[in-house]
Amino acid sequence: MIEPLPPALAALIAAERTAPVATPAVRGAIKAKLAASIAAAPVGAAALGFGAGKILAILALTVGAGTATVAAVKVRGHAEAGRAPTQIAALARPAPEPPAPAVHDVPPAPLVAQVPTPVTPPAVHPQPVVASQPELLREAWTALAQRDSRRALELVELDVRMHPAGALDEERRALEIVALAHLGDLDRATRSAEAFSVRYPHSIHHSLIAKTLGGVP
Amino acid sequence: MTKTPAPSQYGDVKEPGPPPGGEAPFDTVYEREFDYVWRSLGRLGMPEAELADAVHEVFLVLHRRWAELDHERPLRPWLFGVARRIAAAARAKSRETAVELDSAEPMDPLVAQRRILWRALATLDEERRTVIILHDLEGYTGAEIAAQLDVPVNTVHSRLRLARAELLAAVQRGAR
Repeated sequence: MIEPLPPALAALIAAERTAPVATPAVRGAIKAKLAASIAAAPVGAAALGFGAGKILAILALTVGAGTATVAAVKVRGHAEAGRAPTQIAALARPAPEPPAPAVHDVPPAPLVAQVPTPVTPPAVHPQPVVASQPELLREAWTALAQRDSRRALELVELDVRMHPAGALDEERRALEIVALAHLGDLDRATRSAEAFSVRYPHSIHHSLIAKTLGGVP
Repeated sequence: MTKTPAPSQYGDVKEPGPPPGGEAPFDTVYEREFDYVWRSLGRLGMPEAELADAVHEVFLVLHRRWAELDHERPLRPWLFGVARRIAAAARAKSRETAVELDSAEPMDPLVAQRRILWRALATLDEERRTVIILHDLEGYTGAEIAAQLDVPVNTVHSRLRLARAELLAAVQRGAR
């Protein structure tokens, strides 16, 4: 009989499963490198069953902000590859880009009176309908990183309502303290930090909290 | 024969079954399994700085061995085995088992938690680490792990108990 996981490990594992993996830039770079390795390895290609065909790949890799673009891929005389990986060339294909708006598509000026421009309502952040605790806290962290501390705090409060006994309480409290400090509510942030250090004396977030409370802009 | 994934105690995180037509295109498999391979290598102690190269290596091996694979069977046990060998080779080469936290910079708390877990996992021996990854992180049952590793179920349970105790101790040491 296998016993349930200790709560400390369960929380770490829950966090590990939802932590972001690789940035789009890294993913793109690996994909491009893989395509290049496969295309540039005639021995490997022959071993796969590409032997009858001649594969010539010209790859010009441009790893930009978040994307890896293969400028040109030329496959010549590619014979039937048996059970070789299908659509491998797709690895080297650049992601489709949305079509740019054509200049001539601009509608003509109205012939009658101008319609007044509608007043833009204030930006409303969409509330997640059903979000797991890791998702909510990830979004809160992203908001914090984007200096939208109010949004981060809203998400933390939403998470308290949705997951009052959530496994990521430690992360939630740390986020709340940092968000409060960034919003200038230092009294509340300090009180929360004191309670946090009692509740989680060995937390990894102490250095971040101390740094935030010590150097709030 | 395709194994039916058993529901895990901690949520079923195992791979989806094979497509109805059998073999999925390589690039579909790449997209589907990228995160799994990345996480597996990190859990197996691959230093973070070398993760990208290691992921590339796993998929390169997959590409080379594509024709030999039985596409009706779950792919993840095979990918895990490749990742294990690559991570073990990297560990033997560098003897670098710890991922240092650079705590001066604000860090996504989930990433920080993951680093703690990976660093603690890296302190376990290979057999215990493998069992705890397969059971507690991937959701395989004791019987499935026993079949995969070709050991008795009781051995799996015993390794799991020891691995959890050691992992918890390593996490607590790391937090102090």
